[in-house]
Amino acid sequence: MRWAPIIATVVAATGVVAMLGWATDGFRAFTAEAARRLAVVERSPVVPSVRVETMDGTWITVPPVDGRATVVEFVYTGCPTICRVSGEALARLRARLVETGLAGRVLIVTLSFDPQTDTPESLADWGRRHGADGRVWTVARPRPADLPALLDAYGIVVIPDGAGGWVHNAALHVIDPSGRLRAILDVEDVRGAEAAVRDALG
Amino acid sequence: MNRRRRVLAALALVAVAALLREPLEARLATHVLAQMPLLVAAGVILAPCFDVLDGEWNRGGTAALVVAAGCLAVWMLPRSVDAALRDPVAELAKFASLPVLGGAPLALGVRRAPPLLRAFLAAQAVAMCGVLAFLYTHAPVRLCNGYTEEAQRELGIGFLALGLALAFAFVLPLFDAPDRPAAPSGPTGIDAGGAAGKSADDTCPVSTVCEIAGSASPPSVCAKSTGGSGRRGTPGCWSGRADSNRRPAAPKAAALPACATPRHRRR
Repeated sequence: MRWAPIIATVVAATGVVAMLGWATDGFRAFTAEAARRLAVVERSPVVPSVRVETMDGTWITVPPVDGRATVVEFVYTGCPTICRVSGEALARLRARLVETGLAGRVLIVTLSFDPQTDTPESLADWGRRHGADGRVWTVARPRPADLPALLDAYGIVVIPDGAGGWVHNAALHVIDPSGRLRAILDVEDVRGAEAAVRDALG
Repeated sequence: MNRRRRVLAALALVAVAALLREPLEARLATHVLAQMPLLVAAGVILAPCFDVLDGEWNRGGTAALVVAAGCLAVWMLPRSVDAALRDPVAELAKFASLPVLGGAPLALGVRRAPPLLRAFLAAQAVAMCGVLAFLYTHAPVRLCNGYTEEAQRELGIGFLALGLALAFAFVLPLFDAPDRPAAPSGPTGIDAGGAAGKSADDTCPVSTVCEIAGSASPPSVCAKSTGGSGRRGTPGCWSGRADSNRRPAAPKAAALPACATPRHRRR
């Protein structure tokens, strides 16, 4: 029996498995999106608070510092596909929060990642169409200068869709009252978002 | 190619991959199927420069091939592709690791791999392309945040094309390969009891064999059957597996019996 090649192969295989394990967070996350969600659950990073202009034309801070939890999602109002789904999902989430009496302790914010095009008027129009009430659920835009850092902090990647629009990793971001990002969920996962909000409120 | 030329050629490929970074990484298909192969190719060219590292540990090439497969697997992960787009450190790691841990060990491994392992790798490469083609054309979700679903499908088609190209590349030479010879100079009937009594320099003339095989087949049939590949299936004749010693029968004419493992064909 020749031991050198056997030992070398075992060492190489061990190294490869360790490397793959490291590169996939222990074989749990094979995509950047899965990794982002896993990191948030495990590390709960603090998101920067930014001033945003809402659909009413007022300026608020997101996440708010008044002890409310926050649910943030990103859209652009010209979006024909996923943003509609997420709009409907947020309407359902808002209704659920109102039903369960959590509405006063949560702020839902839909943020535009296309603040140059999305004026307060178009935000208000989008909000009206989807049922944003401006109180529990508002639609807002950040200052263009804040946008790159904001998207980076949330882990949002916006790319052109090749047809004049944008594609992004749409998701619901649940932030606890201390400003930590606690969970990232699929846009249509209303139940999960509600549970995450309860969890974030402690 | 001498060492200096190899280093220059490898650096040239890496430079092309780096200079064309933007257009190549603009599409998922060219990122994975053009830029990454360029970097792997750089490593393959560079491989002989790592000869000093090659040794007993790499007998059969398995250890080096495991390293290469691991490196390629890491860069096949959708999140690694995304990371290379967004994170300069990951991009640098890609440019360094694909030549050094991907291409070079691939070449060092294939070089020492026995034919069976090479054939296994060839079949595996084709199968893997098929799997990836299916995955990327049918995945219900966007796998890379940095690329659209359209780009994803394009990569799937690319893997399909690559798989077909590899399959053709592996299969086409087979049409040209020499036919499996029918017992070049006639089988010795070991189990017929003939071989034991023959001297070592017996050259196994067909007629002798057929006399040994006697009862099973008349000499004429056997002579034809050994004469041309077309008649190999002639029932009742002795067939031999190709001799393991295919050299010309000189200077030590037929030191081995001409047909190493004769067996009786099933009728």
